[in-house]
Amino acid sequence: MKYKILTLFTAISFLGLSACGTEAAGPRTGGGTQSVSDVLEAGMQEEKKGTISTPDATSTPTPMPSADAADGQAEGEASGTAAEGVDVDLTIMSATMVYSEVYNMMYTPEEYVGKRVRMEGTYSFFHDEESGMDYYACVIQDATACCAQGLEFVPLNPEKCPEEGGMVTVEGTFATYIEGDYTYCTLREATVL
Amino acid sequence: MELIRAEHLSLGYDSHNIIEDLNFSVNEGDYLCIVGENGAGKSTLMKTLLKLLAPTGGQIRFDGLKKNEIGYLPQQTQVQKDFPASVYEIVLSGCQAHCGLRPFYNREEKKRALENMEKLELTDLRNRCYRELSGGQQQRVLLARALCATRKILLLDEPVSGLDPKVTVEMYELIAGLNADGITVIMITHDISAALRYASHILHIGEDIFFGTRDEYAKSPVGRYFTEKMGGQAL
Amino acid sequence: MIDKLVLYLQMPMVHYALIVGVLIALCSSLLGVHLVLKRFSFIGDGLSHVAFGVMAIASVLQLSNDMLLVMPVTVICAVLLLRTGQNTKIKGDAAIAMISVGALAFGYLIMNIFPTSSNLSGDVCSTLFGSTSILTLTAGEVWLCIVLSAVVVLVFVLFYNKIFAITFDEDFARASGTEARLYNLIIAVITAVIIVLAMNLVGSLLISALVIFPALSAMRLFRNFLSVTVCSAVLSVFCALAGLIISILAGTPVGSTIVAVDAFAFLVCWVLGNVIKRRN
Repeated sequence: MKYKILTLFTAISFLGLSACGTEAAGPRTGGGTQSVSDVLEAGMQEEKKGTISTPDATSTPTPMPSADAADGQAEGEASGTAAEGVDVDLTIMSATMVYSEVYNMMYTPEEYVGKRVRMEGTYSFFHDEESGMDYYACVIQDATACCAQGLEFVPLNPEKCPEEGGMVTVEGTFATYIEGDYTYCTLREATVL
Repeated sequence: MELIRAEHLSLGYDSHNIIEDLNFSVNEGDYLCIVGENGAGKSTLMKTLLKLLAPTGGQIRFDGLKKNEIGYLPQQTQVQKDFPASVYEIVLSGCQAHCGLRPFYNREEKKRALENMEKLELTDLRNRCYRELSGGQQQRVLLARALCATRKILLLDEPVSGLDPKVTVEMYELIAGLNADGITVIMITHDISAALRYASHILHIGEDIFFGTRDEYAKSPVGRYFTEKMGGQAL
Repeated sequence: MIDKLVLYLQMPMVHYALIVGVLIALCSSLLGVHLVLKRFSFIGDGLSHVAFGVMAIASVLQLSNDMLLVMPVTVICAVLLLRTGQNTKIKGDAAIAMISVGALAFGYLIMNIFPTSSNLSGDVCSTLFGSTSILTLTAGEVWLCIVLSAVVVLVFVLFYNKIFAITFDEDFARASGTEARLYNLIIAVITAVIIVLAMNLVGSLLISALVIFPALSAMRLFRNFLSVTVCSAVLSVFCALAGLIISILAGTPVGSTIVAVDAFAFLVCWVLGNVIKRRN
């Protein structure tokens, strides 16, 4: 058991989320913003594989085919190849840029709130036994492969989520919320594509 | 007029003395040769005269000689062998000491650099790279630079080492010419015959210390030892 | 490819990265010529490792602005290192090596014993290799870099002739009355400033490359100090821009891409230099 906890911690520290680069760049929001995925990563180790599909999967409405595509044009014109209605399309960016963009989301979340974000990364899931909450996250790595960042998302269609560790592409509205002492970033109304 | 006077000078590194109780003086217009064996402390003495090293005892007085009135011709350093610099850049850098905090050279200093290049027949080499010049040409460049720094006194550290015999003679004649123009010269050399030919005074350091005029040196026991070995050819 | 580039070029973080990258490349190459010729190529390495060690301490102390600690300590080390190097070459060499590896070891040790963030390997990696920190700068950091770079360039231009004089022949300069010690001190200080800034761009292990490659390349092609300095500055800025754009487009790590471009440029200059030599 002790060993398990140890590996758990290693996992957390490895996917230390938004911590990478702080040495050089310095903390932005007083260390307040933390991604939820450290929790998620912890779960990764302990979670029984069986509970991947969530209980409330049936109650979720069918994926909305990018309903608010029309008003998402605000900055969409900048990205010629970006998908319709998406403000920040990470799927068309290079590894270096994806990592930097997610890093900036963590440190200056106020500039991203309300934007439609599409991203692709490693799928990760955690079920909190105490609160009964489910957490979903999409984890990306930087080009040097030493840093990773994760972004939580609240899926509208969790049944489409792949196996843990598989690749997932999600699109959702960027938002922040406060839980305990930390501000967390998340993608609301996310569709798993 | 007396420019430099050394009184009871001791030289060395740390607390180890190489030379003790050295006394000599240099007057305006003198041509002083410092001779002695390797390791006798010739270069140490030169560096002390240049205030690059502090003496371990005694003192040197500089009367009527300001800090930025000294021209120095050092031995070639490793750094300079592959240094990318043009002849003009190097000669002009001799004027640096007169700039003080002024960032750039003024017209007068540039003119002076060109004059000295003319004097040492370097004008044609103006834009050539220093590291591609012959040994004799390199020494002339460094001499021109030293002349930019001073009109009073030149300190030369083995100016002919590594030069072929013909160029060596040319170099000596050049220095003698500068001395004839009124510039005081202090030169370190291994070459006692040259010292006897060109110098007005000789300072011999080593186990026996001698300071005096050329003629006195030729008659002294130290001097006689060398002149006899060379068959008296120098005189 | 082009539309991707256009897309990236509209992002503020890319603007920041390009501005800072160009400025750091410019500053480091200016001093690089002096450091290479003075046989101080490794000073960049030594100082950046010191900066790494101090950053570790700063992060353990949880300083909100680690620059306030890193900058002064690195400057002091630069002054000490360049001073010992003046008289006794071997000692100076050994001193640099000693301080450099010592600081690296202690820095990593401190980070390990007192971990402040959950991502140790990430922190270390990004400080050493500069992964993407250039793309994650805040406006404040960009301004700091602009101001410091402007100061460095200004000092370099104003002291250009003096730097040349003491680089070529320090003994002569001192003997003829130039305040060589003062100018050495100035050079040490701006070297330290540049190196701390450059850690953002390429990380502390790769800084030496930024200092020496452009200077060495320029020396293959030109034979006077002014041309070498100008060429090394132009080359360095060009390589930094090219490296940044390649790494953004291809998704390669920023620091190593820039250094790879620098190394490639050196190869080209070396070949060109030989061709020119043979022609003459």
